[in-house]
Amino acid sequence: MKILVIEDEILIQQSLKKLLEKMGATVSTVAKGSEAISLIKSEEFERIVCDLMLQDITGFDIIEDSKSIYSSEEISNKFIIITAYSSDQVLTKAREYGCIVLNKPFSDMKKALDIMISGKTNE
Amino acid sequence: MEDNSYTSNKANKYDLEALSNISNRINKFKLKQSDITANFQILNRFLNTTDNLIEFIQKLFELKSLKGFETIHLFIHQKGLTRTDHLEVLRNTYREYSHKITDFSSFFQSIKKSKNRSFGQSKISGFNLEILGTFLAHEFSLSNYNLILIISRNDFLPQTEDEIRNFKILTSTLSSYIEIKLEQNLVDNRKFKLKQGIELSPFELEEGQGEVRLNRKTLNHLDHGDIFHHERVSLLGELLNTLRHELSNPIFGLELTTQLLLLEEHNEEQLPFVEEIQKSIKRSQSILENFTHLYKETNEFELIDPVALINEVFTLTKSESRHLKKEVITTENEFKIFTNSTWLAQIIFNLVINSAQACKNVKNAFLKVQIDLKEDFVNITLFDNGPGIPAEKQPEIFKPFYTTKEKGTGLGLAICHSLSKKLKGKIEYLHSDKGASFHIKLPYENISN
Repeated sequence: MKILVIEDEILIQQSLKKLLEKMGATVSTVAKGSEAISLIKSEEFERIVCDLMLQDITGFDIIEDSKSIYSSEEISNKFIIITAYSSDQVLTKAREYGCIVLNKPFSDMKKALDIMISGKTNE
Repeated sequence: MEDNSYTSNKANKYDLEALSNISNRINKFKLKQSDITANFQILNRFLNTTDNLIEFIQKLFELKSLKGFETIHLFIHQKGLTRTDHLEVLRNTYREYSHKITDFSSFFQSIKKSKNRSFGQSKISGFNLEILGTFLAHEFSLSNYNLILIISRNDFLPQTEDEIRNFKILTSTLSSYIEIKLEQNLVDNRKFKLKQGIELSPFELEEGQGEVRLNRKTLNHLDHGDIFHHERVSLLGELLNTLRHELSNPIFGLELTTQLLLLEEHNEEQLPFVEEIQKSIKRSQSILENFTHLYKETNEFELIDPVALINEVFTLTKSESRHLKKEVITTENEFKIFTNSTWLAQIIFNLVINSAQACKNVKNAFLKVQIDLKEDFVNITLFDNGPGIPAEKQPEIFKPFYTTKEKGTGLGLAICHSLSKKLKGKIEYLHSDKGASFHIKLPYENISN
């Protein structure tokens, strides 16, 4: 399974990569939103774990851009939003895209990783 | 004296034509007049049975003259503003838009110049009207507003004479009604804002003789404390929020990396260090979390553990109050109270800081906070072994800007006082020989889980 992790906090990025690789996935990582956009267009990923607050743009910008290659259903299945911001506005916007939102820090690490691999929560 | 020349048999063809022309014109005039009167009656009814402008416009579809018409557009420009509001009203729905004044003005002028008010789509400039085909338009210049009214059947057929005539009649009477509805909107908005202002007012209001006034005493001590408090609270809220998010990311990164380090092969010497790192990380995370609970920028009440809250406030005051031995005393088992955590924390915070400053030179200084429940009240009593407050100053201490400190603002206790009221409780100073003693009384509901 090919996963893209878009996260600019390097410790989190690298740790997620290692943990997901231990679960059998092939993981690519980027820290910049602009690089994420090009990578999404050039390679096929089954899952995209995307942080919202990046240095250059937001995760929502990346999702908007990927509408040019993915349908809304694909977007809601592929993208998993991770964020430290849990305000109502953020949650509402994420819901508009139909994506799963995971709040950092993950209270249950194993559950978070399972969700990233399966693309589903059990709720 | 009747002149029967026109009806005598001697009337010739020419006269008969003239007669029927005049008769037609009289009939048309009568029709027009009665139409206008009927219009007034109907519009009056619409005015009284609708709550706002949009409802009123939608009611217009009930008019016979609008039979077959599907869309009404109303452009409203409030004189002095740079934007134009635009209502698109259909029989069952409506949409609102906003435009620049320049587009509105050129459109307004071109409608004003038009004679028969009937337009094809080519005349629209600057607006995305989604009207198919032809439409009728009329402009109004009111005292506070300029308006454009457009009605359309959403098709390409030109307007009939009747439709144009009916539209003219309608628009000759409509402007005042729209003006009334617009003013009504404005008044309703103002009423709502005023009501909000009264409800949220930190000042005491008294009612009497059909009016509401500020309490005389309050007027004399305008509660600046509360105003400053609100301003500081917002900045603080922003700072805390940003800090929390900025810190939580790197700390989470550290946590993940440490977990990974523990999963991988490690030598025995490193293990205890990595475990210590984990403990520090957990502590950092819990501090962040605690302060998130402590500070929420909301007016809402919720169930909180007061002992935990007071201990968290103690942590916050650490740098100012190291020499002050602080403890919470309660004989109650773990309980929760329904209150606003931020306001209560602010009150305790101010009192602890005051105590710390008053006890600066006191040996073995202490501050005890006693909480107990009695019937329907929570009693929180803070007492220290400092110099206390002399009797003659006691009535003044809760007033804004009263201070005995060189660099004091005099707002701390005033804020405590105003926040206690917001918590539906009260705060008072208790006489004591042994130091200062403050008593906070809050309502307590025994909400059993």
